[in-house]
Amino acid sequence: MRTSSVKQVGDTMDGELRSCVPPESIFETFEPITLNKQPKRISFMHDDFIPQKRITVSCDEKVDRLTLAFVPSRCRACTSWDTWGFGLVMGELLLNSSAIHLPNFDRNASMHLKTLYEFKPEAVEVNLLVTPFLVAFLYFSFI
Amino acid sequence: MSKYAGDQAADLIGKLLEPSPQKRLKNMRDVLIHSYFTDEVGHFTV
Repeated sequence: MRTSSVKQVGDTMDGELRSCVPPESIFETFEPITLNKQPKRISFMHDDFIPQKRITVSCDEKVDRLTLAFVPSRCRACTSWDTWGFGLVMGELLLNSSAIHLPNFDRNASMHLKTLYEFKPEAVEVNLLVTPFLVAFLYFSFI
Repeated sequence: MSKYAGDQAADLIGKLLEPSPQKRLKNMRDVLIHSYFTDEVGHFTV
């Protein structure tokens, strides 16, 4: 199961929209951004290098220019993300509010509850290598 | 920021969120040696 990927400095990002992007990492591009708009749902296409994957981002509000600026394919990986993101977190903690008027792409509580409600146990990936040991452990635990 | 969290906190946030990457703190090592973290004096006044 792929949980994360390592990006080289200068590579375009992928994944979900994040607002902790330092200004120098956002670049303007003349390439059109593939944006499939469905009712209350927007999906951003990955780069051409990974044509099968598609990242979907829920968005209840209409897309504005500020949101489009944070499209992952427009953001380049940079070592300054650490300090910039830390500054945002520190600012929010010290002020007890959002220090910078950035868009918030985090899921709200209702979205998490909806995901939990629609959870399907059969969708869970089971590591076939571990399963026999787990079954044996459970078996010997109860006898 | 300085009104609510003190001058050192304001200085730290200002250096972390500096728009120019040349003037911004370069890495977390530089962040952790900032006086906000190294000073023994309390940051908050009651």
